[in-house]
Amino acid sequence: MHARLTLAAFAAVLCLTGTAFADQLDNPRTDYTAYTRPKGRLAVGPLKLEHGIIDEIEVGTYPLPWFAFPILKTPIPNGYLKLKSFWGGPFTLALGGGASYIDGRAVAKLADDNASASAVSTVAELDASYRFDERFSLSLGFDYAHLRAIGNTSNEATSLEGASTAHTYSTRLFGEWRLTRVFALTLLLRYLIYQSPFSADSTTESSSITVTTDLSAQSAQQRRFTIVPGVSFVFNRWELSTGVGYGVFYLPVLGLATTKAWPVVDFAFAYRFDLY
Amino acid sequence: MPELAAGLRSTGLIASRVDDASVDTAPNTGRGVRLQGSIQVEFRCPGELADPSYDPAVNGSATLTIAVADTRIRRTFGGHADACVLQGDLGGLPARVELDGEIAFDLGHDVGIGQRWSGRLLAYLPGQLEIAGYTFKSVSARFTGEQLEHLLQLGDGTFVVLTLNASGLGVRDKDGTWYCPSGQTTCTRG
Repeated sequence: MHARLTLAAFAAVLCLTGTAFADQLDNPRTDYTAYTRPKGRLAVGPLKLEHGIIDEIEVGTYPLPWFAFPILKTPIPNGYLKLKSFWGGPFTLALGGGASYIDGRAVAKLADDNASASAVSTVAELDASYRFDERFSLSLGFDYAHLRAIGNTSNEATSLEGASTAHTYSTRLFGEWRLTRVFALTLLLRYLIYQSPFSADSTTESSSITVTTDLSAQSAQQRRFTIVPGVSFVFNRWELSTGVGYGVFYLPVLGLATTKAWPVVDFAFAYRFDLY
Repeated sequence: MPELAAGLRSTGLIASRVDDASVDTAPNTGRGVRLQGSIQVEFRCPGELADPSYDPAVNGSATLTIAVADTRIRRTFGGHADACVLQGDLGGLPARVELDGEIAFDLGHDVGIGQRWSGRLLAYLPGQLEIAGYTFKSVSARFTGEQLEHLLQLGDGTFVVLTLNASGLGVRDKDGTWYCPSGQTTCTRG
C-alpha cells in the first residue's frame, strides 16, 4: 500500500505539466551550466548559497566548509563569482572563478598530520549552454582547479583522501530534459583531461642522518570518466537536484579529482526568494 | 685481504641508509600514487668507537643521492664521503676505517618505497679507504654478511675474483677456482 502511494505521488509530480515551463526559464539550474540566478534572487541551501547581483553576475559560497571547524578545527572560507553573457537567445556563455583557503590545521586533518602549510585552492570554469527548446538544454564546460601550499614549509597540501594534485583540467557535458514544469531528467558526463604531478618534498632528521626528498607524485592508475544520471525538481520556492553515478569524484569546493573511480553522488538543495 | 674486506664491509653502514630513505619517504606515498625524483641522504659518520659520536667535524660525513622512479628506489646510487670514520671488524676486533672521496653502491635490485633492502651489496670506492694502517685506492667488492668478493685486476690486464668467507679464501679466474682454507698454507683447485 505504501509503495502504491509513493508511486502515485511520484506520478502526480511528474504530471504537473505546464505549457510554458516558466520555472525552468526563470530558475535555470546554475551548476554545470552557463546560467546564473536572476537579479536579486537568493538561493539558500546547506550545500550552496547563491545570489544574483544582476542578471549577468552571480556570487556564491559553499556553506558547509564554513562550519567544518568541529571536524577540521578551522572553517574553510570560500566563495565564487560567475559572469554570464549579456545577450539573449538560446546560447549562453559564462565565466566563473572561486577560491578557498584551507588552514594548516585542516590540511593536517585531511591530508598529512605533519603538514604545517596552509593551502589556497582556486577554481575556474568556462561554460556554454544552448537551450534547444523549453524542454531540453545542453551545456558544455571546462574546469580548472589548482591547489597551492603557502606557509613556512614546502610540504604541499596535496593528498586529500589520496586524491588530489596541484593542477586539474577537466571538461564536462550536462544535459537537462524537462519532462514537466517541476521535473527534469539530467545527465552529467565528465572527462578528466589532465592532472599534474604534485610536489612531495619533505625533510626528516635524526641524530645520524638527514633525509631530504625532492619528489613528485602522480596517480599511477588515473581514471578519467564520470557519468551521473539524475533528476531535478523545481518548485516555486524549492529546488532539488540529485544524481547517482560512477567515476572520478571531484572534491567539493576544491574541484580536485580522485585518482580512482568511485560511486558518485551529486546533490543540491535550496530555498530561493527575491531580495529585490 | 682481511683488512680490505673489513674496510669494505664497514661501508655497508652507509649503504644501509637507503632503508632510512625508503621508510622516511613512505608517508608521501598513497594508494595509486607514483613517486619519482631523488632523495638526498646526509649521513653523519659514527666514528670508530663503540659509543658513536655523530659530529661531522670529528668523524666526517657522507652524502648519498638516491634516484626514485615508479615509487621504487633505483638499485644504483652514489655520493661522496668526507673523512668519514667508521668502525670496522677486523678478526673480531674493532678497527678504525676512514673513507674519503667518491662512493657508489649497487643494491642488486630496486627497493620499493617503504620497504627495507636485503641482499648482496656491490660497493665501489674510487676514492681512498684506510683501515688499520693500510690504504686502498679505487677498490670495489660485492658482499653479504657471510661472503665478500673482490675483483682484482692483475698486471697483465686480466682479472681474478678473490672470495673471502668463514671457510677461507678463494681465487677465481677464467680457468677455475682455487680454495685456500683458513689456517692452511696450501690451496687446492676446485
